Amino acid sequence: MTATSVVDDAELSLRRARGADSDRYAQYETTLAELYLTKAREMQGHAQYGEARALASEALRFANAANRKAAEGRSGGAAASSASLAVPKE
Amino acid sequence: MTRALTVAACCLLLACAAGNAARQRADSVAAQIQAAREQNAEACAPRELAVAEANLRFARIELDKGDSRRAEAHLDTAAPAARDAAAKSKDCVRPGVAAQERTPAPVAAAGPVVSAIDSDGDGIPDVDDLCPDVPGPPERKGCPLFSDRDGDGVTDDIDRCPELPGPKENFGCPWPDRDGDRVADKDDRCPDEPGSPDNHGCPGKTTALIIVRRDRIELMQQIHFQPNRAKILSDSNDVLREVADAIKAAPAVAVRIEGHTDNVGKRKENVKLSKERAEAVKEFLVGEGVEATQLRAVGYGPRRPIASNSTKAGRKLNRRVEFRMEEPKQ
Repeated sequence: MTATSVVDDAELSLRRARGADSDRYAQYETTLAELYLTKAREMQGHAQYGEARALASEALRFANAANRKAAEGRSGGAAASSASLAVPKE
Repeated sequence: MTRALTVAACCLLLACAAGNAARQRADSVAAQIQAAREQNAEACAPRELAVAEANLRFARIELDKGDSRRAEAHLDTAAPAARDAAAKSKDCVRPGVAAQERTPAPVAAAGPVVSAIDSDGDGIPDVDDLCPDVPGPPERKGCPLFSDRDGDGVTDDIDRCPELPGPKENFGCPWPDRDGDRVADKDDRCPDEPGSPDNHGCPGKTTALIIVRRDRIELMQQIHFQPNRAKILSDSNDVLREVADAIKAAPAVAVRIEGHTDNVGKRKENVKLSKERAEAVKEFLVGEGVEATQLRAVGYGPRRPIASNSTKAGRKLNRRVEFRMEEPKQ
């Protein structure tokens, strides 16, 4: 599989996660996915396809995790798990 | 020369020093990140923690590649993000705790948020498990070390057909072949009818190996011999059988079998070799049922080239066997 196709998959997965409101429910994973994807594109631009592929695979996994976490956050279980979420003090 | 070497050595030393400094800085940022994590930064400052962790990882990748300049750039982003994550986490408490004591979350409560669901039972809850359906160690965030079950060089994590070998261009899946003729549909001109690979996967139509002309038998495929010997290689049997059939079909015709060589080596030896090769062809044709009286073997050596002997391709063309029609015997 080429680096380009993994980058495309990661991009698509991140878009889906964002659509599922992952910026709210899974900010950590979403940010990581975004940064890894950007770095993968940068590596691709420097023709370092092996590293680009590895980073894009990581981005894909983070995006998938963000997707799941967002789905869980939005579902009924969100109420229970949100009780355990730590929030900044006012 | 010595001066240039000295300058180069100085540059090398400076680069090494820069790399070491960057590595030390990376270790210090890693310690800051660890401290922030222990204060539950993943929940309190998720964005800052992610920025710090990602950039630290990128910095280490760049350092491994020897690019300390780009590593420093990533560390410049990672360091303040790690500080911010730690600062935000200090003022962060869990709501339940906040309601009772209004004190920072204890270190014991740090770490990823625990959810009850752990589908693969690897001890990492699904929300934090990057591979929630496959068990894997925590250092790989719950994902297994990837295997390649079908051994096609495409690891199972990205192989769309992990049980079937296939090229990476097709995501690890074999190319489809609807008619099962071992010519993949993408190369098959007749994808619904089985056919031979020589005919682009289409049935029928076999290609003739010879053309019978008025004055000669033209070969579509040259006759191959062992190097410097008069032994015919088996891949030439089909073409010679077709020649035999053509001669047998015209018993009144006499054929001169001409052996030719390039100009490499001694002329005498080349003439001898070409004669022996022509004789070998004659012998083969007789074995196929051609009348020996219809055949005459001649060795010309390098005397009658059809291409330049100064190039490899030309010499290859000159090493040949020809079949010429002779005047009918009176």
